[in-house]
Amino acid sequence: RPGDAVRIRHQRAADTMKSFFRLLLAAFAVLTASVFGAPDDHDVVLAKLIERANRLTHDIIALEHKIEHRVDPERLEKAGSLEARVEHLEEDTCEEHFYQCGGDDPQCISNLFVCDGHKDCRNGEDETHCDLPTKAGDEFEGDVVYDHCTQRQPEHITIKIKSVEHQPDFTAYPELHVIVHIPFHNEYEEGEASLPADAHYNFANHELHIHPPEDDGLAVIGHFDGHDFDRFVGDIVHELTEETCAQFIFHRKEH
Amino acid sequence: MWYFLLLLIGVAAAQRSSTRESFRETRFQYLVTNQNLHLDKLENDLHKLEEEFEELSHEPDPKFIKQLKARVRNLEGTGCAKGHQVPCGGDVPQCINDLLFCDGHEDCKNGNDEDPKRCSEAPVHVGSSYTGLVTWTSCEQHDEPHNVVVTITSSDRHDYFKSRVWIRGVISYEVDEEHHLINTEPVKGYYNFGKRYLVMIPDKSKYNYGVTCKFNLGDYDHADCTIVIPASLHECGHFRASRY
Repeated sequence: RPGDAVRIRHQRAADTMKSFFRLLLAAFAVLTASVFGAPDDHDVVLAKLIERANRLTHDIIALEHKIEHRVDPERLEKAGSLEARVEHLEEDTCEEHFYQCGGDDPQCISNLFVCDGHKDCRNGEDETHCDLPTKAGDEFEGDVVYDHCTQRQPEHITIKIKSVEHQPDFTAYPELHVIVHIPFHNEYEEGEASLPADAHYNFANHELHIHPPEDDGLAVIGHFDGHDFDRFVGDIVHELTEETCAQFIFHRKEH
Repeated sequence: MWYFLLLLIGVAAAQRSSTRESFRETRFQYLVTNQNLHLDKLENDLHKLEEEFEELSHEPDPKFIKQLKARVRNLEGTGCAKGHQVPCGGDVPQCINDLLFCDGHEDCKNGNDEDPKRCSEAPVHVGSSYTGLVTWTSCEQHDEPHNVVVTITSSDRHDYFKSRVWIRGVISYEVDEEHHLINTEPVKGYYNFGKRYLVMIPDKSKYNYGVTCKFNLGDYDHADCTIVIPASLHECGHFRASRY
């Protein structure tokens, strides 16, 4: 019957449509699987990879820290200061005005050859520590230990480095200009004396010599220990007799 | 016919996408494996470096450094007048009388005389025992060093006078190794915070010896002690004491 034929055709068309949709669904399923399904696995794999990399980074940094701790400049400086104290207790191995090159190969050279730009020690020690610890603008504040001679008997003295003169042909003794601030108070007045003075630094024994700023002939000799350059012992001496009559401990002032 | 064609196209498309998919998957796995191998190698290298680092000499014990510093300090001396002047310690040297240490009032400029470490009562805790091998230099006839034990049995600190701790104790020393004879004598004395100094003398005159100990070795577990005649403080023997 024609009606049947039409119905069958319709039926077929409906079947085709159905199978087409099924096919489409299957393709969609495959697609979603590739886009949304599988990445779940991939994410886990990637996360594990990232975690491993992070752990490795952590271990490397931990080792780096251990190594840095060993060569920590602050610790080396402290060890050096202790060694300097022991050396101070020991007898001098070089004559006066001579410099001990140190190391495993002791050698004495004249103080005049230290930091002159020419290697004189066999181990080159005399040209390795030639950075001036007292730069222009630096300030050191000192607390009194004892004082039998200064005019104002201060509790504190501040030394300010005003300028540094490097002579290119004689680098062993840089010259400095400093200002010595001394607070004072007596029964009449209170204030602060600011005395300009000339000074020079001696690389061989790490000493800062400040020539007498006043006509009382009192000079300041600052002894660094050669390792800790934030602190020095300041002896106040009669320049003529070289007799120490007062002592201050100076610390670098942080800005 | 239509249906068949569509199916073919569909299958072909699906197959193509699945081959591309499997290729991608293989590539991904390949990359991951590679990265893992790379990480394995790095971990191996790091492990070798760590082993190499561990083989280097170890850090010195902080206790050892403390003791070394104390020895240097003892050699350097205090710079204070003899008698009862004691250095405050710290960066700027200063000396004050030992009666002013740990009295509750800051007398040093840096306050070190009231430093809790300095004012530790650890050396004279009741039950503290110090032992060592005493080398007799006089008073007793012994060829070989013998054991000595000093034990704190009571301690007392007065609120109105805090710079001393008053103590009682016993000193026991071996006199005959063969018969295991030990002399035990009661002693009394005090601990001086400023000097880190322990002094004990016989409780009654019928006993022989007193003992003095200096805790100048960087901690409160070691001391340099001497056995003395109480009247003259003449040294009979000396020992390096360790706390037990």
